[in-house]
Amino acid sequence: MTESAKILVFDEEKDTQDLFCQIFRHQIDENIYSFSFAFTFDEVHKQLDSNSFDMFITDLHIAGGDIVSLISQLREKCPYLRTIVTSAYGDIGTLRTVMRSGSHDFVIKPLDAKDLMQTVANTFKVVQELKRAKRTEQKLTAISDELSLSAQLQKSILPGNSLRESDLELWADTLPAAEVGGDFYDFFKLDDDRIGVVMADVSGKNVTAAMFAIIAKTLIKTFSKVYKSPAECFYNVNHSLCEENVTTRFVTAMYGTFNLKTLEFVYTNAGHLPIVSARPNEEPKLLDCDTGIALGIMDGMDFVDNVHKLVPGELIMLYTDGVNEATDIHEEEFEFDRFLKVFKEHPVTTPKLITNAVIAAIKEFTAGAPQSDDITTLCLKYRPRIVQNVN
Amino acid sequence: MEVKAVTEGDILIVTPVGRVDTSTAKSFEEEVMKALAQASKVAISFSEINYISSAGLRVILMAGKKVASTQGKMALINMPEKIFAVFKMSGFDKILKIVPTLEDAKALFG
Repeated sequence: MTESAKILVFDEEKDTQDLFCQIFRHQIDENIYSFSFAFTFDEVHKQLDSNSFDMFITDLHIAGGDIVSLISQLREKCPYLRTIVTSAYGDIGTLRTVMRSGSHDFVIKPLDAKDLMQTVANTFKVVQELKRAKRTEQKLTAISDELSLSAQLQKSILPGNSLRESDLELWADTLPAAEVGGDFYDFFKLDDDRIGVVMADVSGKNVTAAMFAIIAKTLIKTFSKVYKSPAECFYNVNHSLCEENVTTRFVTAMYGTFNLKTLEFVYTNAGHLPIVSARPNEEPKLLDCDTGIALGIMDGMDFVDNVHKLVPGELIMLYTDGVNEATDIHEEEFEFDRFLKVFKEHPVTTPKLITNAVIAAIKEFTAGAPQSDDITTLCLKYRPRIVQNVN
Repeated sequence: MEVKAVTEGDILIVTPVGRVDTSTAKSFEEEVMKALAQASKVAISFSEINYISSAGLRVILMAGKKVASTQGKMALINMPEKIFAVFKMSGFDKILKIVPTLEDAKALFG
């Protein structure tokens, strides 16, 4: 795309206008340059106030004002405008004055057509470059605005970090990537005995993913109050998401209810990662479970309730793929072995401490590589008081 | 990202190369959709893919929906165990046709 440059010429000599129109007649005809002329300071201020120019060509000595300070002011007011100074005096003192004023180039008078054309052409290139940079900057600003909006949206739907309910301790946290993904977690009291927990990851990034996360989170919480079985809850969440979903977005999710009396964790899995279980004096492991398909893909799919009974002191963690797929600079992944090792190294711990230990281990592993996905975890520990005293 | 496409008989074999993650998913989608416009029987080969993220799964899902909407057929072939684990974990193996080889895909297409 060829852009035209708007150029303002300031000179006391009236024949300057004819001279410029003569020298640049081709460029004017082809709309490459469009010239405006001012012959007094009044006129130049009027022009500068009412138009936006790309280039300003001015004589250094004009009665009734100070050109050097005008150029300096323009530098601040119009950062994308470039100035060319013309002067009959080509001595070092004059040149230094011109340079200090912040003008872009200098042409000696009487004006040589070839020199002037070349100088204007060079300056025009610089102006175009600046305009391009400005557009890029505007685009980047728009993108970062969108990113911060999705970060805010994502944060706004999270319930906080911790919950303590009789013998249950819970800690959840998320470490958003620079380009915010669609991770979210949730926890809530269902009745006197049961706590509901959710871990989910919406496909894709940014605002649309964040919006989808809000819908999914709301549906899960709403249906959790209606259906006691997590599988039934997901069947209905899936149905609702499929009805609305035109963007082929989907969400992998796990929803479980922990019963404080029976110690049963009943959970259903919609294409999400297996739970980590760390029992005292046992190897930490991933729990095998029946997996349904991610939510929002196909209506009518079945989900299954899996039951895992916690033992005193047991800790379970739900998480997103930002954990096991955290990648170092050699594109090697953190993977489950390193993940489980963290639990092994911290046999006596709390949900908060183990979460921090996992994040520290990931950071140490990825050292220097950018975080490409959100890292989200939710950890539960069942710790009856009597065991706590023994410990 | 690079996506190879060759035709064998009336089957179009699409072979993406490298990692399909958030940064490459967009061009992966464009290349796959372009290829799908050319044939009604499509086999996507995972022989040269070493990683696929959820953004990549979404593209496969869209491809499946697009093929289905035109009464076409799609199969996923040559899937390394690690990639298959991703499809299985997300439950995608339940709705997509994943078969070992091109011959199996041919048999499936009939």
